[in-house]
Amino acid sequence: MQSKGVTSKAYLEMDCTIAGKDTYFSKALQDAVVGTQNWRWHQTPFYLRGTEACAELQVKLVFEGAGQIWVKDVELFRAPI
Amino acid sequence: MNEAPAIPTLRPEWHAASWFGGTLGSVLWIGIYAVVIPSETGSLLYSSLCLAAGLTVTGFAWYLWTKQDSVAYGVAMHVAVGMAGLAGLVSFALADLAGGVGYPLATYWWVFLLFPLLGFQLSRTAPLACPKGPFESVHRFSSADTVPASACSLEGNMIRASTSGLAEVPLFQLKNVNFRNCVLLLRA
Repeated sequence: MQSKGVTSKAYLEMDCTIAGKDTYFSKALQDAVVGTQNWRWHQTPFYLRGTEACAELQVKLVFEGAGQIWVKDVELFRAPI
Repeated sequence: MNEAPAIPTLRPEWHAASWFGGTLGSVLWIGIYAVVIPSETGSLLYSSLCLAAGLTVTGFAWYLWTKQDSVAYGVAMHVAVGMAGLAGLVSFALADLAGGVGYPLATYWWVFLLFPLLGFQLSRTAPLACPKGPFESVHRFSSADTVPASACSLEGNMIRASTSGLAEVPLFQLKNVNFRNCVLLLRA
């Protein structure tokens, strides 16, 4: 991600809709962007335990103020727990 | 294909703060039991009881936390230290009441709540579990996954999101996935 003139925090958010349940989110608050920054990796994890299954996934950018952000090479990884 | 990302870890400054808080808490309550209480009450009985209670609860809390993945992030230390402090001071307060010493230190038992509270705060800001295996790439987002949004525009292989204030800008959507019992890691 790269940013320009972000006046307050901006961060990645991943929403998972659990089959038969509600939608849950994971916000990269600890890795938020502020101001103008060059290209850097940002990441956020989402933990799916037991039999819960994510049926639909949405990726968002959350802005708490004005600004511009460029994103590229967005990729989803998975690891067993 | 990019190389797989590292396992998410606590940021270094949080890690340092966690150790500092845990050490401070430990020194504080051990100091109270081993030095302050004996010198103020003139008896080793109360401090010995409190120290024993504190160490017992610490050991028990630590044992429980080592059975969970969250121990990796230092949250356990704060909870254990806080519980030990509480146990020690509560036992001291009970002993104090029973003995009628009227020692006021026990009224500050709530100070030790700060450590478990800090632990819970850490648990909100850091991922609680370590994945047991390496990450594998499962999807690379492309323009086919984009969600139409007025705040977004495609610029070559990039998406530009622009806003003049508070906004949630949807970028991508994946339907009919079936991820379960795993850690998903989104990287951009």
